[in-house]
Amino acid sequence: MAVWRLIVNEGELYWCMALDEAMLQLREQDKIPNTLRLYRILPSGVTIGYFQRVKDSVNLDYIREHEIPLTRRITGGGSVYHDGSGEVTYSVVADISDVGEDVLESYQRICRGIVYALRIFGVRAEFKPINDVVVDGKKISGSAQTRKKKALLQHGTFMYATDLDKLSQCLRAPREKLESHGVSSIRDRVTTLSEIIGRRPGLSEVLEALKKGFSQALGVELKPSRLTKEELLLAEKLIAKYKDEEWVFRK
Amino acid sequence: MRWGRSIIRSRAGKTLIIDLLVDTQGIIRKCFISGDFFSYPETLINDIEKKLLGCRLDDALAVTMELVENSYLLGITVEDLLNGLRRAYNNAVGQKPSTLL
Repeated sequence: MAVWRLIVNEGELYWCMALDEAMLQLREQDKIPNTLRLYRILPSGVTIGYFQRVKDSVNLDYIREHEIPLTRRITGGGSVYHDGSGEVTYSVVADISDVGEDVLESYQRICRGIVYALRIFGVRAEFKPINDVVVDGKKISGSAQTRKKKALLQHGTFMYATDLDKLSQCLRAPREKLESHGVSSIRDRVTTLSEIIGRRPGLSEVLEALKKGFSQALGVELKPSRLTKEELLLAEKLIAKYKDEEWVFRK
Repeated sequence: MRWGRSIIRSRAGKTLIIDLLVDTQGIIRKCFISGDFFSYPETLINDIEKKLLGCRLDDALAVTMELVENSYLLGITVEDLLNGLRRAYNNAVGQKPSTLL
C-alpha cells in the first residue's frame, strides 16, 4: 500500500491558506510527498472562492463587526465559515496521477474520505456532485480543488459541530441559488455531525475518523509526519498575499 | 455608462454572476465574472474579463467562445457564460435613459 504523509495541525486563517498553497507548489516540484493535512483554523475565519465577489458571498458588515478573519482561496467554489471549535478542514496535496486525471472523479474519490469518516459515526452520507457531501440532503462538507500541471490541491470542510447560526450570519448566497435548493436560508441547507447524532463528538474522535476515512478512500497508509523547513518558509512568505486587501477584494 | 448584471443558476447548482459596465457607444469598459463555479485552469476567467474590454456584445461572445475552447469549466457551461454575458449586456444598454450614470 502506498504511504502518504499525514500532518495534523492548526493555525491562523491566512497561514492555513498559505500553507495549502505552499504544499501545492512544493508537490508540483516533487519536493514533498503526497500529503493529507487535517487542521483547525483558529480563530474562526471565512474564506471565499477564487472567483467570488466579496459583496455577493459574505456579510461583510457582520464579519468586520466581529473581527472575523477573511481571505480569498486559490480554489474555486463558494464561501466557507471555518469554525475553529466545530470544524476540521482537510487538504489533500498529491500527484494528479495518484488521485485521478478526471476532475469530477477525483473530487468524488477524495470526498469519499468524508463519507467513510461519517460511516464510522453510523451516519449515512453521500457524495453530491460536484463538491459536496450531504446527509439527508443537507450539506455537511464542501470541497474545492485546484490543479497545476502535475499536482492538485483539494481542501474542504468537515462540520462536526459548526455554529450554524454564526455560519449563516457570515455567509451570503444569492436568492437564485437558495431557491434552486428549495429552501429559504443557508441555515436550512447545512447540518453538522453533532446535530445528526445528538451529541458533540470530541476533536480527537473526529480526527481519528477522518484519518481512517481518507486512508480507506485513497487506499493509502497515512504516516504521521512533520512539515519541512522549506514548506514552513514558503508558507510564511505567502501569508502576505492572503492578508493583502488587493487579493481579497480583487473582485 | 451603466452597469448591467446577470445572475444565472446553472443546472449543476452553481451561481454565475456577470457585471458589465457598458458605455454609451455599446462598448464594454469593465467586466467581472464571478461565482462559486470551477475553472481549470483558473486563469481562463481572468483572461475573458480582460479580453472583453473594448468589445461590443458580438465580439464579446466570439472572444469568450474562443477562449473557453482549451479550458474545462465545472459547475457552469459555456452556454451559461454566453447567456450571462448577453443578459448582463442587455441589462446595461436596455435600461431607461434616466438610470444613466
